[in-house]
Amino acid sequence: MLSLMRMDLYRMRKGKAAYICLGIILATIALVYFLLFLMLTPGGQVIAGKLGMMDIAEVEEAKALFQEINLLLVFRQSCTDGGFFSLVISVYFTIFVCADFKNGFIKNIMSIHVNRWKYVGSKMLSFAILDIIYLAAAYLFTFLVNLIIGGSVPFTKLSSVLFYMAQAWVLTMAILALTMVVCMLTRSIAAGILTAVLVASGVIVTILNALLGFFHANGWLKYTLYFSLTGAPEVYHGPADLAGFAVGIVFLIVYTVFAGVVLNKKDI
Amino acid sequence: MNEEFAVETMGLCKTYGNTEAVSQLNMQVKTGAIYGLIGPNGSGKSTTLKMLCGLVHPTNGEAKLFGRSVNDPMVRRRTGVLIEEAGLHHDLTARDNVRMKAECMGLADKRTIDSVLEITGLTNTGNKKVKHFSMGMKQRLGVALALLGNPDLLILDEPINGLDPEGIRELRELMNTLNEEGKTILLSSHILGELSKIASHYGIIRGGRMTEQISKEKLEEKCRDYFQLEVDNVDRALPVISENLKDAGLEVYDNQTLRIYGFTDSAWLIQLLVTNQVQVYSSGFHHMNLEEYFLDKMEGGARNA
Repeated sequence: MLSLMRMDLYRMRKGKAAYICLGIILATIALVYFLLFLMLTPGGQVIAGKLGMMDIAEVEEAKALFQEINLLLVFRQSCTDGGFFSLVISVYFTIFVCADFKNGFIKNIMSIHVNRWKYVGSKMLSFAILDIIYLAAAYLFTFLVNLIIGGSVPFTKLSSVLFYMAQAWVLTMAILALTMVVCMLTRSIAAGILTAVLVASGVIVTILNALLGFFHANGWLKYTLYFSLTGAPEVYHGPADLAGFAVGIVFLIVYTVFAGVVLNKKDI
Repeated sequence: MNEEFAVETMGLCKTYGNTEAVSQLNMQVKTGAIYGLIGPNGSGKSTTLKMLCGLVHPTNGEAKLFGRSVNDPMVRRRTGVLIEEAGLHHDLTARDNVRMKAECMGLADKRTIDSVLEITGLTNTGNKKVKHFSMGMKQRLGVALALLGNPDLLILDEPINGLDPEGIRELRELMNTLNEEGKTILLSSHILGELSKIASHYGIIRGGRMTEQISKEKLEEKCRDYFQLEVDNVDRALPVISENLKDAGLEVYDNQTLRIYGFTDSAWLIQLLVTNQVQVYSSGFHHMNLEEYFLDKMEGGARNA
């Protein structure tokens, strides 16, 4: 499995897609930060006022917002909470996995490796590494941009950052595992991307939440991947705050096993 | 461990829905042979080769490589495959593709990458992406991937597809060289003339069943010299020839063509036919080549008189 993982990491390194996806994530953070700069800094508010983007009342609202905001919250709002981060990495994951089937390279792999679980395992491990790199790079970028504009957003404690990042990592990995299931079933990039859009952006669970809300039967939805990610706590107060980890790990295992079973059953 | 046969299948079957792609296929490829698997489109060649590579699960039966199950990881490492079109990442270079396969195989010695690129003439492709390669170059890269790890058995499905005559000649020489080094080669091809230049054994597959396995020597014995006549009316020519050539073997190839085996006096026969008002359009002595033999087998053969 490690040899397959090395192969995947080599392909990530040599291809452009990994860099493009990271670029998209960082560019989005930069855009959000530019808007924050306009809202939260005196200099930015002057520019926003001149451009007609904000009036005095809105500047006061922004100041109120400034009291509650912190760096991790900015990171979450710009990157992870809306499902943007999961979506980008899931789309890349879909293209990465399905390309093996589309161009036939899978034949080179499976003619050597009898144990097909290794294939699923190597893909998950490779993207686990990429996921950590993306999360770390995105937060570091947020941190640096904040420094550049004068540290106008208060920094968050490292323990909180690490606690949240670990949850985000596990939950996005579970979303990737679900995407893997669809890729193994359909071997279609289109189907994989559709799944990524529907799951990562929370379209399905949001609709379900609205519908089930009428019957007060939506309580269980907090244990879905999307709501676990958006509601992930930043500070550990007790075992209840580990629910996000539990949800992520359970779904990660279930979906990975399912993907492996499908790959083992089907012909190449 | 019995290594008399590099490949052996016993009652191998593969069914897709109600369609039997491969049915009770028994095949033996001797170690050290170049085995040509021949059959029309849809005859089950690729499915058979995929089952041998572990890419497709057989519905029934058993396939062995070097006396062991195809699911034995050790024999998989002794096998290099090129099934259908070469599986390549088109946005990477030739070297990157080979490097990826080497990583996949866990090959520590990266000199093998240079070695297979050199063997297949792809050393100088530099940073050119595979998507800009010609069909022939892609096929050669597929062969390079198959050669990684110095396998004892090469399974090649239509390896000369897309190659120009020069490329075909180079690949033929490469396969001969590899065979001389002791490698067993199992390949399928539609270009029968080319296959007949290198194969030492043949397997003819039709409708998913092995209809014949034959060595090159035996095949050549079966291919006899014959005198071929093209006449205006076979029905009129047949009784004339049958009455006068009682010992010669006679075969009606089609509505206008006759083949006579074990016969040499062509001038006399043509005179005889003309005298009996049978028009002769063309005539000549032929040696049945391997391609004709295979086509006869696949098409059910000519009608014997």
